[in-house]
Amino acid sequence: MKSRPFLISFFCLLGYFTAFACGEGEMVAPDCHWIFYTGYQSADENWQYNLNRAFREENITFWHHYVHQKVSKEEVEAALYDVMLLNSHTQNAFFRYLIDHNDKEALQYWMLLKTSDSAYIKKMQWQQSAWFYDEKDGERYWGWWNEDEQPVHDLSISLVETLDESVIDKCKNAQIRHRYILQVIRKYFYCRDYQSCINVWEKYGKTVPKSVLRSQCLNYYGGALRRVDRDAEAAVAYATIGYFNQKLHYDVKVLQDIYMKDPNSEAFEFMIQEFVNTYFDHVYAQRKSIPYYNYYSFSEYILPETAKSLAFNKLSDKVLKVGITKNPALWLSAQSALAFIDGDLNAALSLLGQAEKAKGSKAVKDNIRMMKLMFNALRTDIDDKYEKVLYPDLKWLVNIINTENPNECFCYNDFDSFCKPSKTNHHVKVLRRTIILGVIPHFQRLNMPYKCMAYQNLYDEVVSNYKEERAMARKGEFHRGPSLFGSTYIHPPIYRKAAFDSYLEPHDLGEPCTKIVADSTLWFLNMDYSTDFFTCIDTADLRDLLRYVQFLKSGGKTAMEKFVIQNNYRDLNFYNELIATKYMRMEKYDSALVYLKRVSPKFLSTQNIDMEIDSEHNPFTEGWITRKEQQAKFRLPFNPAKAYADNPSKETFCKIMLRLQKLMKSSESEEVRANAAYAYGLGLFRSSIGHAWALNYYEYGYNWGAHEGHGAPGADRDLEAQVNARVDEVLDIALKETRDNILSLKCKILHSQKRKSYLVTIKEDDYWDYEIFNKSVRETFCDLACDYDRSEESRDWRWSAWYY
Amino acid sequence: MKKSIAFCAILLVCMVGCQQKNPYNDKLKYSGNAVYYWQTWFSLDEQDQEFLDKNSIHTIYLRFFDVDINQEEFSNDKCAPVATVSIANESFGNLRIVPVVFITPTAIKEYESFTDNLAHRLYAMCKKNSISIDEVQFDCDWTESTKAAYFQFIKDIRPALKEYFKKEIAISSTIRLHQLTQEPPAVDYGVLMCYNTGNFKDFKTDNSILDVKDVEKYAKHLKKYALPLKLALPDFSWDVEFDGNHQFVRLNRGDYDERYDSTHLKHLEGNMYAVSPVGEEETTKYIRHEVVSAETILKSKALVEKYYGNMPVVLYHLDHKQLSKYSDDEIKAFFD
Repeated sequence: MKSRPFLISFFCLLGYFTAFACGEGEMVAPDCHWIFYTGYQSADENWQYNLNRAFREENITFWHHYVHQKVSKEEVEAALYDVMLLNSHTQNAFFRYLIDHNDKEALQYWMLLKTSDSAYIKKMQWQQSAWFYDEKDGERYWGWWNEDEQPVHDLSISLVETLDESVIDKCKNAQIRHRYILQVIRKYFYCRDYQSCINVWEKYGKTVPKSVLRSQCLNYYGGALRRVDRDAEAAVAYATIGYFNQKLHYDVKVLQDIYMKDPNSEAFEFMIQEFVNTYFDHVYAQRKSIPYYNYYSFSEYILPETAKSLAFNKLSDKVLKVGITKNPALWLSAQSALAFIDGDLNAALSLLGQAEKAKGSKAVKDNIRMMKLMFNALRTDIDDKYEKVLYPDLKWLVNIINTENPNECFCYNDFDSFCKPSKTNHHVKVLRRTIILGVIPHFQRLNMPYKCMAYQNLYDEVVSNYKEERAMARKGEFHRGPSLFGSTYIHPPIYRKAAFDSYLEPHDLGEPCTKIVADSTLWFLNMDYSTDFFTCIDTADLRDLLRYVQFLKSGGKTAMEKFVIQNNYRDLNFYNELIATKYMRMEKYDSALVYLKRVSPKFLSTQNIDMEIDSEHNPFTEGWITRKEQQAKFRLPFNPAKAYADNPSKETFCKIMLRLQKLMKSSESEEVRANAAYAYGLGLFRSSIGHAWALNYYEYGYNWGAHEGHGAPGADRDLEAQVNARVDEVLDIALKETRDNILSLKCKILHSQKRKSYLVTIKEDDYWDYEIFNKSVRETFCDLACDYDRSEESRDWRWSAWYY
Repeated sequence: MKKSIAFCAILLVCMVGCQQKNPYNDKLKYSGNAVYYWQTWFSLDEQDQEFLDKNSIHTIYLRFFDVDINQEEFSNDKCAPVATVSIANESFGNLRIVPVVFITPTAIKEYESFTDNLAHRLYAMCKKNSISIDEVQFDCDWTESTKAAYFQFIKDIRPALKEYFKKEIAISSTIRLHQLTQEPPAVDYGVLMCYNTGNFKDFKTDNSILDVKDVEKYAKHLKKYALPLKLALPDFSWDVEFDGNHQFVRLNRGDYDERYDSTHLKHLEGNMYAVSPVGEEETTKYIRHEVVSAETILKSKALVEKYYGNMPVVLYHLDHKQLSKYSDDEIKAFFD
């Protein structure tokens, strides 16, 4: 029970710092163990499939080399795996090579194998035919064989009965002999002759070198052992090849049996890793399910798992007391992890301290260091010297991640095609947990948001795979920046709470999450605008962003600060442009211009909004006016629409808005002041909610859908509401000042248009509040019909009003 | 009732007196009483079990599935099994189960495509349901045009069954009355179907299930029929439905009195009824309620045995609702 408050407390912390949330890579995958790791990549549900695929590759390469690469790999592959070649194999170049070189051993091997294959194919065809009758439930062939597969039909077995130990003994070629061993084991397994399967491996297995072929053999061997109730040995066999079997590997009795036979079994590293991780998954899954399924009692769920933990600790204590184990650090660190999962951080840290001092393998020692990094980060009693403690371990971890091949860092989740390109493996998860759950909350407590930004940036930069792409984009090697498609995925704030951590549920947060006033992060962005760091700085207070940039420029004082800055994205164009945009959102156009001037045109040309900032998206035109000649007509010393069209950019926009501000304040003419106010309101509206949105926001990707609606469903609309209020204010000024019926009408139409737009965008699920909308239109139309003259211009306006 | 039993008894005595001795009786294995089971759900309830015990029935000819042209668009199989029986029984005690497979006349033409699969499926079904068998029966309404295919199928299926079951499996075949005019298939024995003698689609037919006159037409061929035979007798009934133009519509179970409201039902003559229209779009339809009397069954039995000799009887089929129409004595007489 004590674990729950602890978990809740640190999840509550997460809630507070949601703005610093990390990637959606964590969105799914309760199978991604995050506490304990030794060096084995845990088996997933595709393990069997992957093993078979790996064997296929190894097999092709082996035979390709066997024939001295005289035959193409494609021909070899066809010879080995093309079922159509069964009856015409002599025409295949690979077999022709063996025949021409009179390689009797290889030919004999292949003859036997092809006969065996035909038996498999027969079975496969039968299972896929309309005639199939499932004589053993669940026997139907679904695409690949696995260890639990039922034996082939007796009829097929009779075809391969000559495949026995004698063929192994007779074979002189060691490499082919190893292959015979696999085939004989496989055959016995499928024939349910498990004892013979075991005997063959135990007699011949030692000679088989470490390879995928060996893993295949051990897979069948383990399966056979399991079926004759030799669980401990089966568990070891599976552990050797990294195949996780929950029945065997999540059982303290099996661990104990293995220990009794071999106190220093190599299988322990894998098994204990899987034990701890499975424990975590189970405990977490139960905690998660209880609030939703409260008709199950708490004890029913938690107690059986606690019993597992207790049993493990009892065994571990015994193992450590006896002292034969050469890897006591493994047992101690596992106890520490279990204590952590059970919610006792102090006990976890204490045990981890002991584990640190105890003997252990490199994988275990590395794991202890990672656990220390995470556990320390979660302490709330750490002081401002924490960075000193953090520095060596964080540097070590970042170095590991930086030297890993990104292609080998597999993604656990199902959102590969949607998630931004980033590394996802255990090391990344440790880094993520350390920074997001520990370091950032720590600096938040110290009221140092710029440090939070720096660490968030470090995390994003370390795990992102797109640095090269970004560099290419910056060099202008992409015409318009890299493709948006399939590369970006950012959750709107309302979803981010759930997406933040797969282990975080709304009920875990206790209090509602801090409200996030998201600006550009409402959308999907790419490259620079797809990181969580961007989410953070885009939604942060401008003063914090300015402080962060100052920190970035300083280069840092301490080793840790220098290291963090080194690992930050440091292109000042990026920051200056964003600062300018933030000033624009605040209508501080003079300040915006200062920062815009610091941004290189080349940088601007590679931004994802570049295509949207053009004369077609003019913020000073009224798209709702049907007659073009009536659009953008202002009684001003200059035409803002034309000025913008001549050089469409943020800079031009700022200059025009500044000029309009000036006219609104200081023009002697009421009409000029009114026209300036109208144009200013129009600019505000169109640059935020209207079609020139790219002036205040960034691009969203194609994954989400169309542009209409400006953002994801349920997205926070605060900024738009603010803009709407400001436009109202400005239009009111115009209406007060003007005596020009047409301008007054234009203001009213903009007012209605704005409200329509607001209504359209604020409602979810295509729901329009027609009543309000119609009232608005009706009022405006009444004004048009009653109050205005019969001139041609007025007629056009009325027509426009009708139109919408 | 008493009268009819007395009549039957006299008739039987007369018939037995003049019948031949079945020349193949010695070759017939398992010649005890038997029944067919022709539903898609096999489960023997207490009444069924009681009937079997009372009549010393130890063999059930259980329809496993039908073979028909495959309707699946993207399948490689030209023919496919349909209406496979689901077997609820976990054990069969002393019962001997003989799987029966009905093959449609169109499917038999494609026998080459399914012979092996059929044997495999029979094997799989027996294995799954723990049924030990020594015989399989095939039911096919083969004619002159499909005879060759059926005979070849019988020839091919024997080794295929042996391959799967790893032992000799006896093969029997149903024999329809019209098939008596042809040479018999190369099976171990046949079961003469003494039912479905008439054309049920014909409005003028009096009783298509069994009519002694129809039996008489073919019975004489039994004299020279060179195959051991059992005799299948019908205990079922059905209602043949015709539209207002006397065109055949469908076959229903023989429960017209439950199916239609008595106020809409009018007895015309014999076994013919008119059903008055219910809705606006409906027209009058006609129902021919066909049920075979014990008298007709025994007459037919006597007739065929006159030409062939005594034959072990298989009742078609085990359905206690249908069987309840007959008295214990009558049923006993069917088997005697």
